Amino acid sequence: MPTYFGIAVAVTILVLFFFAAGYANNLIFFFVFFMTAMSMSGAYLTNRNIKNVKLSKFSLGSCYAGSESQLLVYLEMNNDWLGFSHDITLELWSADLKTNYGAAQIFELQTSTYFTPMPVVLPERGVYLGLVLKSKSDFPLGFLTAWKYLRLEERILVYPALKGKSLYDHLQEQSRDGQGVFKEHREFVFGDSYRQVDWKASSRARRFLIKKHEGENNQTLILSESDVYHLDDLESKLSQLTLWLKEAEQQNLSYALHFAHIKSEVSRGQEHLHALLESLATLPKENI
Amino acid sequence: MKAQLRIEVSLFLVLVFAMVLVAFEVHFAFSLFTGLCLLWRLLAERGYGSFLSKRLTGFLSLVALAMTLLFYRTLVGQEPAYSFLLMLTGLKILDFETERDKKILILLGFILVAVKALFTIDIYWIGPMVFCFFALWYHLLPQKLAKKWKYLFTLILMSMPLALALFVFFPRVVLPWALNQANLQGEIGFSEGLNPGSISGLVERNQLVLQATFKNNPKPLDLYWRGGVLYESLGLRWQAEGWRGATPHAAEELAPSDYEVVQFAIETPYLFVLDDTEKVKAEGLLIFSNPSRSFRARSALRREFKFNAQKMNEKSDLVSVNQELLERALQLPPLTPKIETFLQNITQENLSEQAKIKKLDLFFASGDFVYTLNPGVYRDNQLEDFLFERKKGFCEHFSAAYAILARGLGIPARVVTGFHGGVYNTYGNFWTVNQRDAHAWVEVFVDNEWRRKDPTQLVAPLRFEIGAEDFFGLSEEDQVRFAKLNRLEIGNESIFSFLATYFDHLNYRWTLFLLEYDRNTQRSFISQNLTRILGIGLCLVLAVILVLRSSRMKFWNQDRELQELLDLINRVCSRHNLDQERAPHARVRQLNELGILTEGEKKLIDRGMDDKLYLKSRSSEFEQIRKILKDKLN
Repeated sequence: MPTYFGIAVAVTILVLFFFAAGYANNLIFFFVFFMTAMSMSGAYLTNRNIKNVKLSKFSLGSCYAGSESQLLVYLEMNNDWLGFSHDITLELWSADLKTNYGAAQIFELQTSTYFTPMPVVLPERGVYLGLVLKSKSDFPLGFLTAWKYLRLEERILVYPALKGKSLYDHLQEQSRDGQGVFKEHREFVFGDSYRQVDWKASSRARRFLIKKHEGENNQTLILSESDVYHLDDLESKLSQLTLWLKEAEQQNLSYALHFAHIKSEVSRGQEHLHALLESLATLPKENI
Repeated sequence: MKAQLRIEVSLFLVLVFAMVLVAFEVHFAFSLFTGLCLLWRLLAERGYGSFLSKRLTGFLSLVALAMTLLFYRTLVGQEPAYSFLLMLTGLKILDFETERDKKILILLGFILVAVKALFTIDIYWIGPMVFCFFALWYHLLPQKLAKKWKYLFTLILMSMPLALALFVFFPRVVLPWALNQANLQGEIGFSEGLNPGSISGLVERNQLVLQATFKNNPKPLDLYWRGGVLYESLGLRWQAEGWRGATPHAAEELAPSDYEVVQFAIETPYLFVLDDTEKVKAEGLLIFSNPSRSFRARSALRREFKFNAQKMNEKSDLVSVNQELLERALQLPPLTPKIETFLQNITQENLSEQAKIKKLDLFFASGDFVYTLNPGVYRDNQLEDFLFERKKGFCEHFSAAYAILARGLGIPARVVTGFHGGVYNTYGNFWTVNQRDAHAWVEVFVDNEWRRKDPTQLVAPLRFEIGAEDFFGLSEEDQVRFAKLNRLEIGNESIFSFLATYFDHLNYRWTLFLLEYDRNTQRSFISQNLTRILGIGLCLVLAVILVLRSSRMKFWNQDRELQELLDLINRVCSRHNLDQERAPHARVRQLNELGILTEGEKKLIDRGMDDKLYLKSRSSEFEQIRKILKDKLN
């Protein structure tokens, strides 16, 4: 499709053509014909520029709804006499091509395989099927835009958004509510949250100290519906639980999830975390 | 503060170049306005002033419009439109902010280059115009593109066959009315009439008028290029006959023409033809002729064009054609008693018409008349002053006076304006006539035919012997001193005049090529050379493909080596169960951190990859890198 600039060039060529015809000026005819030829060559190159590019594979790390993730896109260039492709814009679209999730620009594909990280934001949790990667370019002259759709065959799983109060705040509240009895202070170590610091004790001891509660050494966390009962809607609950699960894993706790039909064992590790998150992500939307 | 996009220096220079091309052709005031806009932009970018707001540049656009209307009273027409376009381009540069503005400026640049072609098609301007044209294309390519000139060259190579094919084959559409859309006020001198001093004013310019080639080269003395014919006399001032008696000249096919003329734009409606020309034909131009045998267009011609002409086979008898012309050719203005006495003295001798003409000739030849560009100012009715007192004048004075005296003796006479002579180009076998050759002479009706009489030849024969260019190259004293000589050695041709002559020849050939390739030429060229054209076209396309493929091979070979390098790194990572979804350099770093590659090996591999990726060159250590990575696989 022509760009606005391409239309302006076409109008210019037309105007100059009328100059040439009106004044029977062969020199202007030459300029007009050369501009026409260059435009057509440019159009051909724009087409080839896009045609050369093929999606090889892609990978997406942990992706949370509403947060930016990096989609790694691997592209392959076809064997072509033109050499490298230039100035490609990649866009990730929904299957119905109505929503754009992110874009990246590659100026020069220097090798026959190329990968680029593409920042994407997927708005909702769940499984995304049939996402479309649109590659487009108006290289070299900007007269025409050519594009190609590359459908992603694999599914993309998006976990619920990371929202809500931190695990520490939640546990603090639990202890205030009598869910944990103060046992002793321990020294602050790197990795602990500063919110856990007992400032009064710390000022007395002249070093940072953190409160320890009964049962804390157990390093076990069981998250259930009662922990998120105070939240109104399902998505907020799922987001909160997601955040806590992630923080629990980061803090090396053993954890389990008892929510809706999900009844997991107490464990820890990336596999356990991803299994639980996947369960949360795939919960039907109309569930309580 | 809004973001300002700094104009790339090279783009700025190219745009200035394009504007200078047109600035030469428009009034100085418009060029000055544009120049000031450019200067302001330069100063603002260097911090010596502030950028103007859009409101202010909008106001300046109105000022530009007002200037154009003030000068030309209209926006319609070549000069007002291009003057306004030039100023708008200057204002756009002043206003330049975004990438979109850059593209608009490039488009305006293309239009300015094309506009230049409307004013001149001289070969001397082709170089700058073509340079400008391709430089604008260069700036359309993305800024980040490496080796832009190489890419542009590839693009031009790809486009050349199609452009040539379009030029050769695309049917030439000609709109005859457009050629005549010119300034309706012709220049005083030829289009309006003959005023004392008007031709001497023209002679001071060196502008090209026409270039002509002949089937049989005439004698230089016979090269009288007729333009307008004047009948109405007001003493030394004569009025043009304008459209009187003009009818469309039948544009039939000429038999092989006797001569071919390329006439340049000098703001006159007349076609300058030789004495005995009968037929004239110009592609796309409506020509009118009148009983006086002058040829003209509808209005002043503002562009170069070519016409072919055919002479009369036999001298035709014009007497039977127009009695009205003869009566007009006898009308006298009021004469002073002294002039009347002079005429009566000759009339009383009862001489024949030829004898009366001889008397007049003798009067001018021996009357101590001086041929000079600066005879002083004459009023219309100062004929007596010219003839008997001052006796100094230019061709317009001599011809006006001669014609009046002839009429006073009962011989119909008319004044003809045009050019005489020219410079012969030995390389190209053509004649060049410029404004310096402007001339006026007389035609008298004797023995039932109109005959040319040139009183200036009687007064200054040297001017005709050596040509106007050389004659006016002499000092004023020498002009007066040597005017009556028949011969003068001018001096040997210098290297510069040799080069000038040669380039004139090239320019003439180039102009002819551009003008000649019209509808008829195209048809005959294609029909006669179709096979040859197809053959050449095919060879050209094959050559382009071969050249481009050979440069592609060079790209591909380099790429294969890089690909091999990346594949080897991938395999080493895979061998050690490492994450392959990282950038190549990151993978190499990871291999180093794990101790699989030493620091030296890591640096070597990084260097090799950088050479490939960024320098596009083969690393000298490529074989070594390959060996290292292969060893890690074992």
